[in-house]
Amino acid sequence: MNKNYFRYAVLAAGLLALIPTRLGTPGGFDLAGFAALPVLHEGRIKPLDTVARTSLLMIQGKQDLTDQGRATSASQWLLDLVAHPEVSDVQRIFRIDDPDVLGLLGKPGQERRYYSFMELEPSLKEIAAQGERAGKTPQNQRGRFEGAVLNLQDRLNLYQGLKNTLRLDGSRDWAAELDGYRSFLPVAQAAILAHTKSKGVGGKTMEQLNQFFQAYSFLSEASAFRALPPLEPGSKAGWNDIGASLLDELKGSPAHPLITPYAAMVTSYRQGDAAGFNHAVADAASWIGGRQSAAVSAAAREVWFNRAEPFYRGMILYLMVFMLVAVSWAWRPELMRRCALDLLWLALIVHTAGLVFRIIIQGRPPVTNLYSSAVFVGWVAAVLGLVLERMHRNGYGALVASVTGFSTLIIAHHLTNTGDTMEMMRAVLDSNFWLGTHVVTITIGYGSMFLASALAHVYILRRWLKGEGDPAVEKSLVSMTYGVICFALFFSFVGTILGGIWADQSWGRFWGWDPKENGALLIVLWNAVVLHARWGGYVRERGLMVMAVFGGIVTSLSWFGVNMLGVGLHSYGFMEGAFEWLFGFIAVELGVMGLGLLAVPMRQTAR
Amino acid sequence: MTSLQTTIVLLSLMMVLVVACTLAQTKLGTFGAVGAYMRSPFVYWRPEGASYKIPIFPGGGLVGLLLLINLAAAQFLRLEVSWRKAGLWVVHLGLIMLFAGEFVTGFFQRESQMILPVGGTRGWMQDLHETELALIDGTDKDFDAVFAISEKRLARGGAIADARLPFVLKIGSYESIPAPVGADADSDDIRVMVSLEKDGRTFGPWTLDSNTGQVATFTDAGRGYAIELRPKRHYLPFALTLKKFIHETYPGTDIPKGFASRVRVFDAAGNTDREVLISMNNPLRYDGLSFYQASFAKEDTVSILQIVANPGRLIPYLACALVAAGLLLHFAMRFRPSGASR
Repeated sequence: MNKNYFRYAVLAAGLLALIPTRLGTPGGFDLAGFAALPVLHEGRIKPLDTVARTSLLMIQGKQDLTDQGRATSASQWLLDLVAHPEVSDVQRIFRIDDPDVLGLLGKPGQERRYYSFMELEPSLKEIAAQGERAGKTPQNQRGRFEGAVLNLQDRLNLYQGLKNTLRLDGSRDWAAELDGYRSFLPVAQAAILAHTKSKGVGGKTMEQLNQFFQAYSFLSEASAFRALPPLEPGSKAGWNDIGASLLDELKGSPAHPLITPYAAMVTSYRQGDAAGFNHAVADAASWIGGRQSAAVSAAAREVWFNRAEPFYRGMILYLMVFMLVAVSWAWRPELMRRCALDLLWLALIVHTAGLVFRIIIQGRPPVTNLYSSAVFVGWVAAVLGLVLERMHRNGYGALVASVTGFSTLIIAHHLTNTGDTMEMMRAVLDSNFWLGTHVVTITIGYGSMFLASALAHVYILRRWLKGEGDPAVEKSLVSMTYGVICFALFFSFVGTILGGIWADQSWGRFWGWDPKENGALLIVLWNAVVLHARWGGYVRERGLMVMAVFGGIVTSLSWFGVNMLGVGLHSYGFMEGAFEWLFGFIAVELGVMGLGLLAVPMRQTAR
Repeated sequence: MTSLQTTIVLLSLMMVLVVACTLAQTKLGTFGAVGAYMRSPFVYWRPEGASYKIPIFPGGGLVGLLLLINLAAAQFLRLEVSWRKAGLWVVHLGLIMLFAGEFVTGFFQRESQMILPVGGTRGWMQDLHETELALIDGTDKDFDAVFAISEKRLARGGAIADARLPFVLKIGSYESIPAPVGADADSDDIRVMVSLEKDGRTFGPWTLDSNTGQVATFTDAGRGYAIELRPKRHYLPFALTLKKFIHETYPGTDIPKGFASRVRVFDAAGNTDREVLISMNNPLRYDGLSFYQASFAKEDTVSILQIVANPGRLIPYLACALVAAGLLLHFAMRFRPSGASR
């Protein structure tokens, strides 16, 4: 087979992994159109598709719903929940792991981890009572049960909020009820006027008015997002929820033109009227498009980004690169290496595109929270790995790029279940300049530390498996690791210092010994130790490699460990369950260091 | 031991200290842990119930000083003067400055707070860590006569008789309870029992507590007095008035978007009288002090400003620029394509 044809075939296989998923029109309903409608949620204008994905992720821990063998997209689930919750209530989506919480629900020792709302409903009061108790305990003194019960309560609140956002949960025909309210409005306004003039008003009218008032106040309070854009074209402030807007009508404000299409949407969906639903979606989309074209195109971009899932697909591509490099050790090394390099380029393009998309959508530098730091760490490592591959051309650059790229994207994937990964920045962090300099530089430091550690793994494992191998390869690995450590020292140092300058600018302490600052300092100190030990000749190649692996441990502690302490200004991450993983990582890495120190090839030990 | 070996040992010791200090923060709070591990020459161990303490490990102060000496020695005695080492020279000079800067900060930096209600004016700031006992004679309509006794003096106990004090102050007991874990304030809880004596008459005794901040009042010879424990006050040659406090959140959420205080800065001589906006990441720098928007209280009607005086605040900026430039120079020469070795 022609070499080039083979390369093209591999590249084509990589491209196949990039085809985005489609929402389509299940049952003739224009689900894609519904999912693209922009709303205001957690302070950010985003499409319903993102609301659906992040909500489902928070409740269930996964973005796709597979309930008893039937697959459903997140948007479909949200549409069911807002319009036809009877369907959602029996889907088993609430993931509960804590044995004590299961005991509280009267379901101890069950095999199942997922429960439907219907199954939880009898225990809602008990959960709320326990949640209130747990809420009184200061956050750093909460135990496992308290954390779990509060978490379950949050998810139940989110679920019930979503039910009561586009329609009042429990209403049979929402559109008809709204018509009833609007024909009652003139009577109600006259009654209010008469009441303020303290003339006697029929008790029945006041009672009816009170009912509407209670219901719509509840709707406004429970509402999980704001669906109604401001009336002034182009305005960014003033998004409203349906309940509040309905109450405003009592005071004589004109009805918001989007209430009717949203009511038509949920009502026709309930009634199985696809044509009516599609018509209402088109109405809503064209009205918003006329007033808020920026919001509509941003929402469309974000839906596209959600469907493209660049980081998930990047992960697959990195895995393919890894496999090609592995094959290259046994079969047609040069061709396989070239194929791996082709796919590494592709993976990096996808990864970069994802980062750029996030920057555009959020209007922020690439790293804003723990999730995006993981994505960026992987990107840095992959870029550096590619540079090394171009310089050394022996497959090891591509190998470490794919391994670090893949593992950091996996880590990022598991950091998403706290909700929207593009949340708004708290006031302290609201500075694009410092986010763009300090945070980015520090994260480049992390990425290069992990890359150096990955290179050291290759060196140590190679020696263990093959004994004193090819000196050219070993020399190349040593020089790569050394270079990356120098690179890491520079960026860690500059990043740490920029952090100090930010701190001096915002609260007057250049250095506050905050745990995260200390973590960054540890990386700098360790790199300084490594380089001085190397320059003094106290460690040779093997020692340098063992020290590089330890550098990976220090970096992981700096990156995640300090978030688990729960003190200081940087403790932003929600880190339950991550502790075991970090502990396991450190144990394995210490093992690798031991292997490096022993330096006895496997074949010899076997003898 | 060579200088390089010393460096490695000291850097490793520093790493151990940084880890210990970080872990200790969950128990001692940041201020306590930094004091115990970083700013102190030794890390001490106090046996259960003992009044003495034993140094068990070099502290950050000592390790830092040794690093500084070693660095200076290596720099001026060992490191050859050549273009090849120019980068390292610059790096080491920068590091020497950085260490010196941290020592300057450790000795000279003062942090205080100003708690400003909307419409209120303050010509003083209060210490974050120190408490004082204040005896206030509020009889005169236009001014208060304040007698302040420092925490250190209170700790020594006994009686204070001074011609300027209208009474003899007797300190019955003094107790200092370390700040609880995770508390916002770093100041310890001080409890004292004091009584006042004059011409054979005794007022009190009162038990005062810096945490509850209760005020005891009494009258003597037609004059009204108040006595209380309060954060130590430092008086300023100018004053700040809070015109407005702004607290923004993202719509539909509780996520804070920004805090800002609009204040009027003025002095008695009339040399300064202007309005400024102090917000997150935008401090006011005035008269050698920096005013930062730190916090707020009482449903956005009180703004809390953090005030820092640090004469060495610019040293790290210069030091870091030097180190970064030096590293860049050194690595650029080291990794030159021509392969010149280090």
